[in-house]
Amino acid sequence: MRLALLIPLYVVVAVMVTYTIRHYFFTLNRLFGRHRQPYVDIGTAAWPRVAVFVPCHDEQKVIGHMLDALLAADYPADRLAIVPIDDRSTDATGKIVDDYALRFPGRITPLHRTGGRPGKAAALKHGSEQAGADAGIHLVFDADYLPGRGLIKQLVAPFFDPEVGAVMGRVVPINVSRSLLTRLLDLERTGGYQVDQQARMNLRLIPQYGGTVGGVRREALLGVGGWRDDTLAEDTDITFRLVLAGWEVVYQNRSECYEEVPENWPSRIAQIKRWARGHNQSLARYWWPLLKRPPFVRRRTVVDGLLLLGVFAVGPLLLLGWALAMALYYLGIQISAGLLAILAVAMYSTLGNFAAFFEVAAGARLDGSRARLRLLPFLIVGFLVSIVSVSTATLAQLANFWRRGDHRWEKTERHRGPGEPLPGRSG
Amino acid sequence: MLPFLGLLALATAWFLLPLVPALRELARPTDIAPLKVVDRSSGYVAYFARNFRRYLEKQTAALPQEQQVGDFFGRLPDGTQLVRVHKAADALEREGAHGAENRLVVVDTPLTLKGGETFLMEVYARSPLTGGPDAVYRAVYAEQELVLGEGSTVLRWAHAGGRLSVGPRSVLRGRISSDAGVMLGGGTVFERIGAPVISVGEPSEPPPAPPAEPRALKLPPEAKRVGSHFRIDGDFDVPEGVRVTTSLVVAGRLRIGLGAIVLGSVKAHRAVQLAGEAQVRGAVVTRTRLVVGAGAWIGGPAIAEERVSLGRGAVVGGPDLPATVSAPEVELAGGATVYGQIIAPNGARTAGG
Repeated sequence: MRLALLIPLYVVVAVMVTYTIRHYFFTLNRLFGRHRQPYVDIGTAAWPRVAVFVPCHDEQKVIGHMLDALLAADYPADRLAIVPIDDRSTDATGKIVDDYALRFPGRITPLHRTGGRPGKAAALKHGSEQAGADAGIHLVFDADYLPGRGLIKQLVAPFFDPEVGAVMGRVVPINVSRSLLTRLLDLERTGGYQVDQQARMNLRLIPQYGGTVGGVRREALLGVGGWRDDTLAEDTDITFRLVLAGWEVVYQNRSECYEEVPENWPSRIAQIKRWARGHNQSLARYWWPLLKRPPFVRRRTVVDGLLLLGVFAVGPLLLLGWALAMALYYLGIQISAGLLAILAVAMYSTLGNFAAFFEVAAGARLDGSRARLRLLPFLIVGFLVSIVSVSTATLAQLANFWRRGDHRWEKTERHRGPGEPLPGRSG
Repeated sequence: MLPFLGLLALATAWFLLPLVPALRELARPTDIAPLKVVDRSSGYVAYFARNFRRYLEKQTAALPQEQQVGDFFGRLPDGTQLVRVHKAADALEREGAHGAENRLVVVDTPLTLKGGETFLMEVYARSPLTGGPDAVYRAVYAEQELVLGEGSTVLRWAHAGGRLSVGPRSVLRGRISSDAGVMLGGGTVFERIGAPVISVGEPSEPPPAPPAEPRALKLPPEAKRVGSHFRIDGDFDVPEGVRVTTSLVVAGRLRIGLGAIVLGSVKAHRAVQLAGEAQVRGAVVTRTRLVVGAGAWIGGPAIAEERVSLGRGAVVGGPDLPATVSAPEVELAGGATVYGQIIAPNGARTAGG
């Protein structure tokens, strides 16, 4: 009995300590290491043809802003195809994109889906099969994003490197002022991108393609079998398939794009549950192929990849660790105080994908936004909500044979009002 | 009961004390705007120059009609001191502009400066402007040709609508741009230059197509195909005078022999060396150093994470093929030419001077 409880606890503590070391390592790298951004200064080039896909389902509040932003991009218009993929919207989204297509013939080519699997992954799969065949680069944006004028060039620039298969830019919340939640998510994003993603770029590990504000090389996408429509996290899925096939995924910290983060807790909980289920699907699919270490994949890349795949398993593991520690205590089984201390430290500092406190603090410092850092103690609320959400999603997934997944649009609620002023735009 | 309540209050206060800044920020937000990072300064080299031009147009348009033409010494509507030289070429001198000139200078007439001046505010020239030696400019915007004399210093930016010629041993901080071309003298130091053609001395042309197609190189059997490129573990040498028809990714060092031609792009995890007259039609990327031999040509961007050295007459890009050279440090030999832009945050230097 004693060993049956102690051995899993030791495993949990070992995992927590590993993630703690990882977070410290990444943070110290960002604070003191060399900042690696080799492609960001490519401002002049013979720009290739690009197709920008915008999957959308009931996005009438935001899709117009998105298309306006893409039309204002400084990318050569004759080499930029904008492809909104309206997936059986029940609001005015389809009409809005059709109106844009009429107003900007040749520049906007909407696709309307009325059948097949629903969901972003399926929409992307359909879109990339129906359009963009003459474009070497396929970029993807969510409908609520607001790319700046120079963003398309910035995201395309890394593809001049023949080894790059996917690129990811930085996501910056636009609706920060709405609630405590939006302010906390702003801090989380800062830690996740400014520190976590950039450190992985600096260390030549696996920056994750995040499914929006980024893109893939078409030939790489086709080479690994295209977008999969049986996953809830097509971004994590494609990241690992590309890495396993010998492509490089890169992150560009200075390619920033505004997004709308959830403004209420139910939206946030739904979002985090969806991410957890999708990410766990990828964990199930790719941990073994990665561990087998295909040619050209370095050992440290394998370690980083496994840790990246496991970030959404950390929450349930942490809860398991707490439960085991409690059980041992009430059963009168003594464990060393040092182990408990490690667990306690890990509990407060290691929460996988959500970036830990010191990552957030370092990220905010690097961004030069110190006042918002005062909210750091409240992050514990967000993290506790995340642990519970991720754990329940994982348990439900296990109960439903996690490989199968469900396929429907699980979109985040939009809050932007009509005529709302947007940064960098007049009117 | 009272001692307990007191203790409870004390404990609560003790617990909340570290949260005071958080509670204050929550109650009275001071930092709730979205991060101002999107499109913050644009990588566009002429960004500040274009902004200045817009500013000046707006300010001068607000001047009274009689002050909008001719020689003028006064203030712009925002209070900035201005001197406008219209006809009298020696107006600056007459106005006592010896040594440091702390007014914004607008030049409406072709002007040749004696040299040694220090312009603490921007200089705007509607006509060709020829600077003398050892002048210091905060920033210069020339609508037409601009010549910076030997030993000139630019502190923030310079832009010319026509050709921009930079004298030897000049120091160009910030962003330098031209709508026609930039010709650099020897021993010049700079950080960012953008122009249709940038050369050290007279520009070189991309090489013509070879008279006879070189024989195709058979890649080693261990080369693995990934997409449209081949990946090779370890170092790799492309022999002299051969043709490689695909892109290459090399996990070690890559050498491209004399006169060899790569039709795709190349990348090496270690250094890349192009021997004389070698050609890479696409991009060249390295995680360390790129050395480009005399007369060699790169058709696409040249990216190195440590240093790029362009040999005598080496060319990057072409008149219809704009390209970027980007590395922390860049060295350019005489005749080296880049059609597009050169970005070297730690400094670029031309040979000689």
